[in-house]
Amino acid sequence: MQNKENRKWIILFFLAVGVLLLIEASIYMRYGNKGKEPFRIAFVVDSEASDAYENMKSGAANAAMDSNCIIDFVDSSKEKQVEADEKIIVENDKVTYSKGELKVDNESMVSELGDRILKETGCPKILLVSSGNQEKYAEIIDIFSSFFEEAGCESEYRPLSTDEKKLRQSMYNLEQSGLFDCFIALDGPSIEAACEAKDRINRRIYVYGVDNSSESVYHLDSGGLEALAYRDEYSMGYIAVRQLLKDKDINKEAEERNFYYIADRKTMYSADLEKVLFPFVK
Amino acid sequence: MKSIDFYNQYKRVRRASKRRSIQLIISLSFTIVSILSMAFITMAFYTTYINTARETAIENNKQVIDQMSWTLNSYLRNMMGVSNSMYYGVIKNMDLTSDTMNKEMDILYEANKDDLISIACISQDGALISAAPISTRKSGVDFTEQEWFTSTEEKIENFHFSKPHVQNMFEGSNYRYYWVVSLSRSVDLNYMGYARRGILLVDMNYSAIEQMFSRVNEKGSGYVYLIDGDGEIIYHPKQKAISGGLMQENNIAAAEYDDGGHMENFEGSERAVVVKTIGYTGWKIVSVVPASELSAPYNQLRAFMMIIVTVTIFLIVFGNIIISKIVTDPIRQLEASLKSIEEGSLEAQKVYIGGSHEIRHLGRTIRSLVVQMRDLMDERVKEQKEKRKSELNALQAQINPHFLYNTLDSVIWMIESEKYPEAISMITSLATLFRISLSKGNNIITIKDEITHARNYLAIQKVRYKNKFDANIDIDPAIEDCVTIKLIIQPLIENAIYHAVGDLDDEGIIDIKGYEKDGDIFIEVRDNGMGIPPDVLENLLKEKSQSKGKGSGIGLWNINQRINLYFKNDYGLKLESELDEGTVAIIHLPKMTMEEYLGGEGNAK
Repeated sequence: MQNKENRKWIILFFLAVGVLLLIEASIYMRYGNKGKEPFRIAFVVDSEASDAYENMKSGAANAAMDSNCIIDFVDSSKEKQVEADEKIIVENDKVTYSKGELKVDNESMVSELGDRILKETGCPKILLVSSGNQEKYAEIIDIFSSFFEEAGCESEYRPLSTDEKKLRQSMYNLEQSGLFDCFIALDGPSIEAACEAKDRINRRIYVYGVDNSSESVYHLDSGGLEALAYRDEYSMGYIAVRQLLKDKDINKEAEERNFYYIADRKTMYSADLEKVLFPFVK
Repeated sequence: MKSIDFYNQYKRVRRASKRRSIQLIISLSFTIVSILSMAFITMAFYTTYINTARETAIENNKQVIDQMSWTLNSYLRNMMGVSNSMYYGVIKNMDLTSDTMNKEMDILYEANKDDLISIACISQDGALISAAPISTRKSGVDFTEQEWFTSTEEKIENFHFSKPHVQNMFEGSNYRYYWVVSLSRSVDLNYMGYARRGILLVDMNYSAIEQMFSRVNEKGSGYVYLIDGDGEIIYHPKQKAISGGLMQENNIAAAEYDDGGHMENFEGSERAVVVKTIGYTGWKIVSVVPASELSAPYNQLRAFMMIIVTVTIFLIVFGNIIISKIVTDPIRQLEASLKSIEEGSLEAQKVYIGGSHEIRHLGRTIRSLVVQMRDLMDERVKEQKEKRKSELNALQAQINPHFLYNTLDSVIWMIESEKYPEAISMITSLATLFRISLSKGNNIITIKDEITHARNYLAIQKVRYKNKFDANIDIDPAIEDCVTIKLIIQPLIENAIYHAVGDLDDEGIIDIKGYEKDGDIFIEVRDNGMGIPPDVLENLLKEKSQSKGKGSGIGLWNINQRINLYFKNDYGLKLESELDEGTVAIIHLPKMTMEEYLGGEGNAK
């Protein structure tokens, strides 16, 4: 009777050890495999240009550096082909993803740049230009218009040709006409055209720009631009990826940042702006 | 809502803890000791192993840092070599009033253009003397305001390495900007034999430094960064995030570290830091590996150890339970045996003997004690029984003096009336009666003798009672040789005479009948007297403390007790009576011969 009971206990024991080993082996296997599969994040951007969103790529890559994470940047037309654990949609100065969205504070940017324009130029009429009538400028144009209207200035928006030659000629004609002394160029091509035209004209023209390209930084450095509003895409890319990688400390930054800088020739080599405007060369 | 009485709960737990079994104590204490020892050993082993692994990882990092240091040092020395060549090979031997250094500067630039961006010589007042590649100063740029210029002016005898910055001094032909680290030194310029101070500037290509570090940072865990003597970051893989305030680095503290390995706690996480200072520059290469990553390769080992520890703990717990059970089971069985002894069972064979030597010895001792105790008790019971038997026999053997007196009076009367034969017969009966009463001291006689005794008694009584009653004896011959206790029928006849038929006006009848039924012997003494009232009948066989004279029932109880003492309680005397009908006393005895009785079957039946 006693032996029977002991045998029952021993069988139970071996069964329990077996079950325990099975459970732990499965945990062990899972634990061993854990981390091999990288976390994939895809940035779906609204531009096919290879140098577009260069800073955002750099920010995203930096944010993913310590983690087992792969970052892909794909054009929106290929969005459906992308397989990723998380997708970040980049559109109109806005980054949208599962944890929320990051957006350039256009109101604040326009206000800061507008104040500077009014203070530096005192021009009563301001012309906003862009190459092509793109919808993505609609919001910022509205904000500029409202701002200058409230300030008692007249502002106008003119979409110019996307053709480089026509754009240059249009800008030259506009600056030459004397109708406007102050221009706000909303993209790289219009900034370049405005700065070139400014060089050719013998009167004081004020050109301000809103752009992220290295060409625009060059024009700022060479004196073509009075000031440049530069979107902080690096921080947007960095914060978005860190948030998706569940870094809680970054949430405060996401809430507090405006995601833009205003640089002029005097400040562009300052410690703060130098690293923003001049990404490290390879 | 019912509130929990914590005090009572506590008391219950205390009480329960005091009742803990020996098995629980053994298994619990062994388990605790084993687990604690194992945990200690495992922790010691694991800590030692992990520390060794960490030290190995840190040592590997040191080697990487040493390699980095060597590479960076040779790069910087190369740049200083360029500066030295330019200064000692060209500038020192040149009169700037008539010669230019452009050609030599271009040669040096071309030879090292992968590692540097530009070489320039600037006069003390900030004028550009020469530059390679040939370029013009950017409008609005004042060399004297540049950080490299002012620091060189402050310490003219040294090489000066600036922080990384964008080179913004020369007009560029494209939109490219270069990050450089400016290597500047004070030089003596020769103008017709007059020495004037100037500054030789070598702008090192920052991307060369970046590439060195990028290669290291691409592989392995952690990262490597470069700081100057004040802790200012020269290179960091996340330099832009740091300058943008998106993350922090412990670079200022790292500047204070001596060369070698350190453990630091930064932003709540522990990190292994290896520092190596680059000789001349005072720059420090800092390698950072989070402690979690140091031990990351050992996560599987940790999981494996956890499995081993869990299984071992399980084995220990189970083993302890089994061992304690094996050890304590005999004790518990012995305890159960003692409990059954405590409850009155003195069966020695049931006392458990097993387990270890000590417990077997204990069991044997207890068994021996039980045997002794039982023998003593049996002896005591036997003694008591014998004493009781003797008392009852003595009581039974007493001859009523009245009976003897009356009998002898009757004999005298017969002799006086010259009825000699009757007198002889009566004396013979009396003699037989006494002979059987004595029976050589035996208490067990045959039924035949007992009946003879009864017959003689009846014969005497019939004379005395002048045949007022009649008696019939009908005994099955088959039972005549069976044994009975002596003097158990006569008292019943005596009762029947005295209390029933003796005083009857009509002729009384006493029927004595002996027969066998169901393997037992029954002897009935039946009279046709007045019968006994039920309440009296009920108490007749109960023990009396003392005799209350004639009809007290001591005789009947005595008979019953004696039968019980000699045989079993299954046997004895039973009375049945009906008023006006009569009474029957039934003796129930085991059927056995004298041989069987003497063979020891008396109590077995």
